[in-house]
Order: sequence, then structure tokens, then C-alpha cells
Amino acid sequence: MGSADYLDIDGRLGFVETYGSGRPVLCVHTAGQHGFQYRYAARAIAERGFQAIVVDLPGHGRSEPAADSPVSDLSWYGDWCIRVLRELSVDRPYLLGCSIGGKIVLDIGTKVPDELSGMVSMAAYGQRGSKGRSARPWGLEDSGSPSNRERSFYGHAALVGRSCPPEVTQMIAEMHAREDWQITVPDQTAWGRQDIWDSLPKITCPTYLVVGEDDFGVPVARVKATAARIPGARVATLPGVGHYPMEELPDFADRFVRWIAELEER
Amino acid sequence: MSQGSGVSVDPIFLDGSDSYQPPLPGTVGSVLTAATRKLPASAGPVAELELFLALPPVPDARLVGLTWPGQASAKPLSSGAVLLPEATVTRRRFDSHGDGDVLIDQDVRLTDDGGDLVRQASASWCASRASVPAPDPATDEIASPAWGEALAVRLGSDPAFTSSVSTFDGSIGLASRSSAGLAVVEFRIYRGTIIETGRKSLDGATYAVEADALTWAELITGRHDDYVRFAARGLFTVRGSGFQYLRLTKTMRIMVWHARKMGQEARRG
Repeated sequence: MGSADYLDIDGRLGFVETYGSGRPVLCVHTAGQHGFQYRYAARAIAERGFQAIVVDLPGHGRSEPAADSPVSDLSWYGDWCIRVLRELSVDRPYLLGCSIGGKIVLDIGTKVPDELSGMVSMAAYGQRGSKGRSARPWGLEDSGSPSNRERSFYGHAALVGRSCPPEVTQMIAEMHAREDWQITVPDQTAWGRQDIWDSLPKITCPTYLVVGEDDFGVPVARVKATAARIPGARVATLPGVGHYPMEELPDFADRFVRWIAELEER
Repeated sequence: MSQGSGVSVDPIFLDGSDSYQPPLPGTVGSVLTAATRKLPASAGPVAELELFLALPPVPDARLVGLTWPGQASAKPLSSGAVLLPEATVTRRRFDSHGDGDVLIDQDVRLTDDGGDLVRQASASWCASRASVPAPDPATDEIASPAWGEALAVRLGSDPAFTSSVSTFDGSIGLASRSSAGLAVVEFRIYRGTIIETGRKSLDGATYAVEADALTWAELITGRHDDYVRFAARGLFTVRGSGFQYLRLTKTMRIMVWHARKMGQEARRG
């Protein structure tokens, strides 16, 4: 069984789930989503000797929106995660994030590398997005963005790897279709804007970058270029996997444990 | 409990990849690859031309046309460059009686040893009817009126499609670019019913989804339904009302699904 709590951070409640009692791992979700994405992985990671701490970023899932919502700055989310870790008095955690979560843990790594045991950043890189996406205010208007639900449903389904069973692909797509566009669109803007290229060498904690070969939104070359700027970083490419390794891979927890073991051998 | 257990899977996620049958050699979507060739010291247009023509779709095919777009922006090929020719059939046109020669269009690409595309051309071949696999209306002329009419029959009997266009009054066009020009079929739709299918509706398409013939061939005959991936790469463009195109997102996915299914069923006999 896990436990859950609301943390008061700057007058807004943030939702945090915790599983297990071993070495702490902060788990950060993708754009528009929430801790649901780790519903299987968190328990499995906990069963392997870790304490999985799963957050819903402000405005996502069961967390209240940020006071200055919408947030379109991943560095802001990185600072919020650091606040969560300090509120919970977590000592030298590992970080695990995917997509914007992957970029957020990289951001945290540039800020407090000495406070971390290491990180696994999935489906993320350190450059701006391919289009250097600027704010798209029309995307926040229903009148300018028709069929958001269906576009999200089919668009995110296509990001799933080809080895993933169709029922899992559909579940991932359905959960994306339930998003609030006032949160998702700023998340996507933040994804495109983030540029921590010059700060990547500050990430001195052990780092693993993980990318699915079927993830057409995250070129493997960009991930490798990012790794090349992080001292000692490793890269794992996953055949048949797309944008959501923690949901697509039934043995994700075992792979996570192996990645951590490799980092600890460093 | 395993992830996704008990979920009733939307047919859209059953793209046929588990029972995929590739196109027969010489039919639309079939791919021929030659051994890598090293450009001779006298590398130039003639050497490139020989590579473009190295892969006739069927043994007795005669070249009747070659469109070799200007390569002004392409980097020059140096002698000794190692190139891999690959040719995909994009269209087959049988004469109305079905017993004359068959016109076969090919997209031919040359990639270097790093996998980068360095040259591309369209070749048209003429082959005897006896040397060519039987006609396949599901793939021979994608985006033609006849192909569209076959697709419309399927769409009209799918409640998911009719529901998705139940509030639409307009025309959806599908268009395929090739050296032969632009093949277009338009579906005139009113309140969930396709009321006409043809080359052009009276008022023109509300929007038309366009791609080159190679993209269509790969989408319709490939193992996976890659519409979203292709669109994300800019291989599909939309003319007309982008708003209506987005509004009918589900409709487009269903149309592609049926177009692919039509081809798969034809290949399975």
C-alpha cells in the first residue's frame, strides 16, 4: 500500500504519493498528465527496495494550479520539485522523469547536483524543441483549437512504441484525452522553450538518459548530444518503445534497477 | 492486474500489423533494393541515371518516362560515393480492357552510406499485362475516383465514420502528387452521409489532404498506420479549411484505417 498527502507550497496544495521505504526516487510525469503514469511502476520500484515519491505537478491531476498559472517554464516546475523534496526531508534522492518530467529532472540536476544520488531522464534532451516553440495563445482558446480531445487521443497514441499492446496504447491515449488544455498547452510551450544546453555540464550526479527508438518526438541524436555534455552520462535506447517507457514496459522496474546499478558502479 | 486488462480496444489500434502481408512484388508499395553501387570516377548525371534505372518493377518493363527534379540544392556526388538505390511502386494503371500494357510508376531514391537521401526521381515503366500481378483496385490508383468510390462504400457502412461526420456539410478531398500530376478524389458529405464521390465536388473541397504518391503508397500498404507520424514530419499538407480538418480529426483517422484495411483484405484474397 502507498500513502498520499497534500503539501502546502506557497499556499497551494500539491499532491504526492509515496510507495515503499527504501532509497527515495522522485517520479515526474509527462506534459498534461499526472502521477497516474507511475501507477504500476511506482509499486514495482518500491518492491525492489526503493521509496517511490510520485508528484502531481501544480495544475495536474490532484494538485491545485499554481498561483501564477498557467506555467510555461520547466525551471519553475524544477524549483517546485526541489521544494517538495525539502518539505519531505528527502535525503539524496534519485530522480526519474519522462518527457517534460525528463527535462525537469535535468533542470534539477543543473541546480542541486550535489543533493542527488543520480537521475534517469527519459524522452528528454537539453536543447530547445525542434521548433523552438513560442507561446501559442490561440491554443488556449476553444475557438482556435477544435477537437482537442481527439487530436490528443490519436496524437499521443502515435507516440507509443510499436511493441506496446494495443490496450495499453489505448489507455495512454485515453488518459491524455482527459487533459485540461489550459495546462497541457503551456506544458508543451515550456517543453519547446527550455534550453539548458549551457548548464548541462553542471549535472555532476550520475545520469542515465533513456529514449525509445519509436519516439518520433524525441530524436535519439538529440539525446546523445545531450548526454555528451553531461559528465559520465550514459544512454539507453529502447527498441520498440515510444514516449512512455514507464507505462509501455511491463519490466520497467527491473530495467530501472539495472540502470541505477550501472550508475552506482561509476 | 496487468496494465490495460479488460479494456475494449478501439479498432483504430488494430492496424493489422500483427497479420501484415507485404505487397506482392511489382504492386503498389512493393520495394526493390539493389546492392550498393560505388559511383565510378566519371561520376556525373549519366552515372546517377544508371542507378535510377537499375530497378525495373518487373523484368520486361520498358522505361517510358523519368522525372528527375532539379538537384541544384543537393550536394554534388563525388566519385567513389557509395549509394544504395531503392525503388517503390507508387501507381499502376491498367487499360480499361485489362489486357493491354500496364503503366507502372516508381519512386526511386538513392541514399548514401550514412542513410541520408541524396537523390530522388520518379520513373514510369510500361510492362506487358502478362508480366504484372493482377489488378488491385484497393491500391493501384490511390486517390483516384474509382479508389474513392470503393472507399466510400466502406465508410458509408461504418457507424463510427457516419457519426464522426454527422455535423458536417462539405467535401473532404484526398490528393496524391506524382510526376503524372495531381490525383484527387473528393467525398461530398451531408449530415453523416457521403452523397457523392468524384474528382471534384461542385463547390470544391472544404479541405483536401495532400501528399506525394510515395507517402500515400507507404501509408496505405505499410505494416503500421503511420498517418500521424507522417503528418508530424510534414509529409501531409492540408489545403482549404485547416479548422475543419482539425475538427474532423477522428474522421481522417477512420478514412485512413479503412483505406489500409481495404488494401490488406485485397492482399489476403
